[in-house]
Amino acid sequence: MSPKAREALLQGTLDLLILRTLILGAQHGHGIARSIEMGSNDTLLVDHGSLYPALQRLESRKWIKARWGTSDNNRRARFYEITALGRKQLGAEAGRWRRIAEAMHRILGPEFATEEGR
Amino acid sequence: MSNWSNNRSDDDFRNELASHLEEEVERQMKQRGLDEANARFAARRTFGNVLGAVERFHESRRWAWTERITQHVRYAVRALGQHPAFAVTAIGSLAIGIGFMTAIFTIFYALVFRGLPVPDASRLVNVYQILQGDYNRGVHGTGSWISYLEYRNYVAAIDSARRTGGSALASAAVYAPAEWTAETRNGELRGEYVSCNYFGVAGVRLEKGRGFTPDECAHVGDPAVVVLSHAQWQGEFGADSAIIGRRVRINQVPFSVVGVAPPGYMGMTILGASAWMPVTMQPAVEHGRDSLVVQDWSWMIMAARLVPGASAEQARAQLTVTAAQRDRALNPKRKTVVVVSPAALLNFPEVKREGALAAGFITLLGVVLVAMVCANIMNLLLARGVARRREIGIRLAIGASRARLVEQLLTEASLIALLGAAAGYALAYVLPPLLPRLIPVSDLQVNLAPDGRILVATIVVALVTAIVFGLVPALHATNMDLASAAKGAMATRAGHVRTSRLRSAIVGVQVGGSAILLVVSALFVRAVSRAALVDPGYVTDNVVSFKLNLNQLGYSPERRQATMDMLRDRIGATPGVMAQGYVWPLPLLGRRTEPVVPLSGRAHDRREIPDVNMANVTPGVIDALQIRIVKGRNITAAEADNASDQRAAVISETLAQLLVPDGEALGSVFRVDDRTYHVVGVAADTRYISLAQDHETFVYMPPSRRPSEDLNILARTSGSPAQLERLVPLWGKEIDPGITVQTQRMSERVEMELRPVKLASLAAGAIGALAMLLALVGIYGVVSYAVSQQTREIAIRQALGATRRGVLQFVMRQGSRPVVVGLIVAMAVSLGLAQVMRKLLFGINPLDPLSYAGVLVLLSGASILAMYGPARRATRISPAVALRED
Repeated sequence: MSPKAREALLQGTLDLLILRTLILGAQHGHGIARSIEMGSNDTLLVDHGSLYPALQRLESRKWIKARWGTSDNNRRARFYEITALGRKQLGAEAGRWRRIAEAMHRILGPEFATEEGR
Repeated sequence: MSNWSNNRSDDDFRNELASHLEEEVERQMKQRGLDEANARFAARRTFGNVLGAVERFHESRRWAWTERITQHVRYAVRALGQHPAFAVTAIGSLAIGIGFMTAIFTIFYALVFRGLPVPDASRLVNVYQILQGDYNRGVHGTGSWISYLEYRNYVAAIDSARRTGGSALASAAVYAPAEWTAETRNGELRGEYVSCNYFGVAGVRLEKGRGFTPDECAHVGDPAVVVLSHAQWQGEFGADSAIIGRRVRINQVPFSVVGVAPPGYMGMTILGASAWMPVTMQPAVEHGRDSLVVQDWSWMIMAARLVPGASAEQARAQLTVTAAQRDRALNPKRKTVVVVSPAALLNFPEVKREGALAAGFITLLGVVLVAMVCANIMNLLLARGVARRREIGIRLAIGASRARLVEQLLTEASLIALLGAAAGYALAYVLPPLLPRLIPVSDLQVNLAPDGRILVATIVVALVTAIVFGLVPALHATNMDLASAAKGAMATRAGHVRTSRLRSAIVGVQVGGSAILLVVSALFVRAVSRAALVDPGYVTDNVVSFKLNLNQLGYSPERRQATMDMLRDRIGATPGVMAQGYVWPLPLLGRRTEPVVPLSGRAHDRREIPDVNMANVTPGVIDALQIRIVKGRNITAAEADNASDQRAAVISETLAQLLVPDGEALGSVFRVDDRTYHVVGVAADTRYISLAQDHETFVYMPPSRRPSEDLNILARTSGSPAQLERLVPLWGKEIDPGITVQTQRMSERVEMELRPVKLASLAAGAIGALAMLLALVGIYGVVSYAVSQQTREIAIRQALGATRRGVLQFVMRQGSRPVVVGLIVAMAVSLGLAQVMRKLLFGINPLDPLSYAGVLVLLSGASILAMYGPARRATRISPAVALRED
């Protein structure tokens, strides 16, 4: 494994990332986790144990729906798909996050040199 | 392929996770080149707690909580079953505590709060009067009852308010308890004089015949009609189907039966009624005494129906206006306060006031008992929490949340509490029927049947106790350092010190509570033994009294006197009878007080002495009771018979002191009512009114030759009292079949007088002993635990040269701390409590040193014994072994 630091997800970001991933098409739980990790260039670490409760939560809010299908590895897996409601939610949430990130970025300013020299 | 669906089973979720893990295994193998076993392990590690995820999923479902509770209950039942000794102790002790509380509540509820057994009882109220200011009033019953004229006045006001549509009351009836003599098998008839709308206001539909009509109350003494209770009709009249219209003589007046009440209806007074007659029959039935026309005479109770939607408070306000008008018209110095209470058997203001103290005391006893039981179960649960450390540690380690475990432990506590409450509830309905049997009046009409409200109260009490004794142990048991707990080692030192401290505090409470109960019990025991030994100032052995019912037979005063004389002479002629005479009231039965006005001595000493006790006696009674004359002489027979204006009297030493503070009381003259008396003798003080009362002011005076009340005959015999008890009623029947004679031995009166105190002492003693036993178990447990925790410390002390004696002292000193604190607090509380009980103590000092010292010695001694075992074990610790082990 590369020596680069991996960051745990910030509170409340997992739901958003799941919805974003599903925009690209139906996916099963393991695939969602891998997509997030790979999409973030392996910076973000998805805790598999909290992934499923999050999926369950989104499903009960009708932002995603699920059905059993067959995975690329020819295994039975539960596929999740974003709903119209989910898309609307994603739009709102993504906008919010961008604004926060932008504001954080503006306050923090240019990157400081640290002793670790990252 | 299934449809989109939101409704998933646990298995479906588990399958999804399994599929995830398989994908991950494959990825680990492909990307990191691990073999399958290592890949599987890595996959699991990245996932984390699989079971936890399943559990969280499960709990997110809507009905999960019912399932969870069922599971908790099932687990709790199993846990209790595994420790039957613990379960039986906890449930049994709770059953006693809660049973006692429930029994008390049932009795109070039945007497004071339970509505009367009539339809729509919630709209029925009783109306009472509390008089203030300056007034004169006769009382037959209780001072807050009303007179017939007052009733008529209230009814007139209600009727006129109703015509204008502004009355809070729809109707009002009145009733007065009475005792009559009837030509039935046992001769006695208890009933009620009632206004003729009584059955209508009560809402009682008669079983047979009819109630009274308004015109039956229109004339005094006519018509003589009566309604019988169902029980009376069945028992005394053989359920005669032609009962309506049948004649029955009551107090020698021929009545005709017009109705039979429905089964179970026994009137509105606590003694229960078997017959009802119009109040206008009272003068005829009581042969000359006319209660109807007396203004200031408390003898009736008013019951009224509220208009739908009206409140008792509105009724009170309206009646207060009426009462105030009457005060102004009749006696401006008097103020009548009207009290309107929901109708019940015993809701008189006086009873409520005086009963409050007794109720408070008994309730306190019950609360202390339940608190003791809770403390004990809490202690047991804390100990069990320590024993279950490993099990709880493992459950926490494999992912059970702490909240979930606390929930589980609280379920166990609630199960114990509810089982205890169920057993207690069952026990309570064995207990209350025992109580009326202990009260010296038979035929009490009290409905002690189980009641929904009491059941709810019991369940609430049970759940509160469950939280009281369950929550803290549950929090303690689940608060631990996982790694060490799973290994079976003791949890952090801080944790067990906290638990130990808590258990010590509980032991302190237990010792204190049992000490309070034992002191109360000891004071009562001392009071009872003192009262049994106390010299009442008269003899009670072989003294028998006879009460006659001549008043109810319509005898003229001459005939009554002649009849009584006949009986008395016959008793006097019986072999063995040493002295006999007339007396009213009997010792320890009733009370008569009047002010005494001194007529001799210096003018400024002649101040009225209020509330002097007195009894009418003939000389034979003073002889029979062997009341000691310390100065002067007894009244003579001639003086007793003499109806002259100035009569002879014997007074008690205490009264003599008050009457003539610094001189000779003999020969002094005083006035009672309109009669003057001269003192011919001074008698030693007696406890005539109550064994608890010392230094009674007392006047023994001869009865009038035309007494308004029936006198009692009293005799002392050297022979068999039982023979007199059997013969005298027969002699009465020989003279007139209508005569009934009630006999009673003086020693029985004394016994009855002591019974409530004996009962209280027994109850407090039994509860106290139980509490002490529980406290000792607690002490033993806490000290044993402390020793097992401190093995290492004790070993070090020994290694450093502590003697066995030193170790013993060390352990005992530690164990004694909560006991000492508990005892000190308990003594302070007991001193306060004893002041409240002063009245019941028969002259025992509430600070009676013997009671307090006795309890202190008993409890400290027993505590030391309970500690000694574990302390001895501590001295046998071998330093070498103990230090190597740890």
